[in-house]
Amino acid sequence: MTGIFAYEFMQRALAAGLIVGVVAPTIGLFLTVRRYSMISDTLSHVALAGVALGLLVGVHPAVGALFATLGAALVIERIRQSGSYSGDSLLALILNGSLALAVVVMGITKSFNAGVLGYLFGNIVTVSPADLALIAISGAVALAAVILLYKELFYVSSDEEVAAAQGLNVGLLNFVLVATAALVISASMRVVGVLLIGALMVIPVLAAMNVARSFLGALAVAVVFSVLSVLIGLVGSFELNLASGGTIVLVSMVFFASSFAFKRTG
Amino acid sequence: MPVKTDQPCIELRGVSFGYGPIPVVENISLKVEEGEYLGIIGPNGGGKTTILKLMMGLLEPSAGEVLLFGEPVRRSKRRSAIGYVQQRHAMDPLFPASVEEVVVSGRTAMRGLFRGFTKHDLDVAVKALDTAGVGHLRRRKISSLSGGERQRVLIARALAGEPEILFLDEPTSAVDAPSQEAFYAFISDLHRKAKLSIIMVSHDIDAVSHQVQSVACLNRHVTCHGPTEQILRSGKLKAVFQEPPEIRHQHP
Repeated sequence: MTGIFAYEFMQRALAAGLIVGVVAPTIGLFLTVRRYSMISDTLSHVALAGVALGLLVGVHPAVGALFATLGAALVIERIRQSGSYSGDSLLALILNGSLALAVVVMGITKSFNAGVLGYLFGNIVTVSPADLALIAISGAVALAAVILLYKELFYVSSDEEVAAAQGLNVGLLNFVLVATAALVISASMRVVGVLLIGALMVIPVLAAMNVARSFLGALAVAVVFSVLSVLIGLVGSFELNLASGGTIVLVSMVFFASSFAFKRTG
Repeated sequence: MPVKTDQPCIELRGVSFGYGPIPVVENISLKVEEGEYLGIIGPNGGGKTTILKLMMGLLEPSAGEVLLFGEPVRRSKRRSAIGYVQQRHAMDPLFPASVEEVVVSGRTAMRGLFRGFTKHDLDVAVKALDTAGVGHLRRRKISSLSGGERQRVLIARALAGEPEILFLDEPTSAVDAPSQEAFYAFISDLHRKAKLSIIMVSHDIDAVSHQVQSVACLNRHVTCHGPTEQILRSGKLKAVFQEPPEIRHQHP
């Protein structure tokens, strides 16, 4: 089984997968406990529009995705703070609008069958050295943000109003959280595809919440489930000639089902 | 321990606020001195929670100003001295954290950015849990607690921040009647021993009037304010509750 990692492209795939496997659930835990699970799906669709726009104007697709998702993160937080729309309707609005934009721009550039399918469904074994570098830098920035602001993000996630009463800049912390998610999504869409990133940010987290007894414990277990999903999914997809992104997420679903059964019996 | 200053803890000067065009509170002027235990009572829709949020800087008044220890509250550097316990639905009961994690998080604001918690922070959190009578729950998940236990844990979280002023918004709404009495006794004891300033909002006129030192009756305006015994003797409390709020509104 370890023989497959003798290939250079599989070594890059493994490195990229492990980085995403650690970072995605780390951000995902804070989003999920805030009932922001759908934001990763929304930003994934925004990222797709960014990829399409990047191809249209000749910018690297990942850069297009990053700018699009960061812009969307800013808009989402601004509108959410204004209280004009409920969280789910706001996310649905942006999700559908960006999907429509992506489809229209792809039609203009005739790029639907070119590189975009790779971003839609992911293909971890095509990760280039440049992609790996982007994933590593983005992952390091995201992890650093969470580590440095861990206690503030925990406090705001557990009780936003009390945190605000004590003078924490709740709006800025929320933006940092969503912007970090945008960064992770933009960087990792080559690994699992934009349609499946949301799943990797949420499913290992939900699985961990079934078994962990603390927030830090949930974070650790979510990362372990996620990394194992990437490893097993990567090897499984290679050996069985399956789609890598889908296989990774299906493995994470097995972890969720197992943890759910454990919770019911425990 | 609270730091003594010459300024009132909280001062409202001609404060008004409304959601859109609908006024919720109008021209409120009120002082809360250090060490005071104030009860804010009034009918539903009278603006009690709104005034509490204005005091903490969570809402910005449309007119007037709110001072915390003499400084505009929203710019005050002493907001970390605020302890706040909300109504029962404020914190997600399914939040996946241990009691200890929740309580030590009450020290986030005072610890400052980019500084992790130390052993001292954990020791203070454990002491706060013991003070609130729930030290034995520290390893439990917050989601496994009863409403009354969770409320005491949230009090412990507020105490862990070593507050100088404690805001309680309908703090017994999640607990049964016998537990309510014990809770009020605990808060009174806390006020006496820790010399905390406490502002408690409640619709429970009997409970509040037997616990607090002073009372403010709110029905869009402050209709009466003074030492509890004096207000009780005047019969003004009953009048407040017999009158419906002047304009009904919904909180956002």
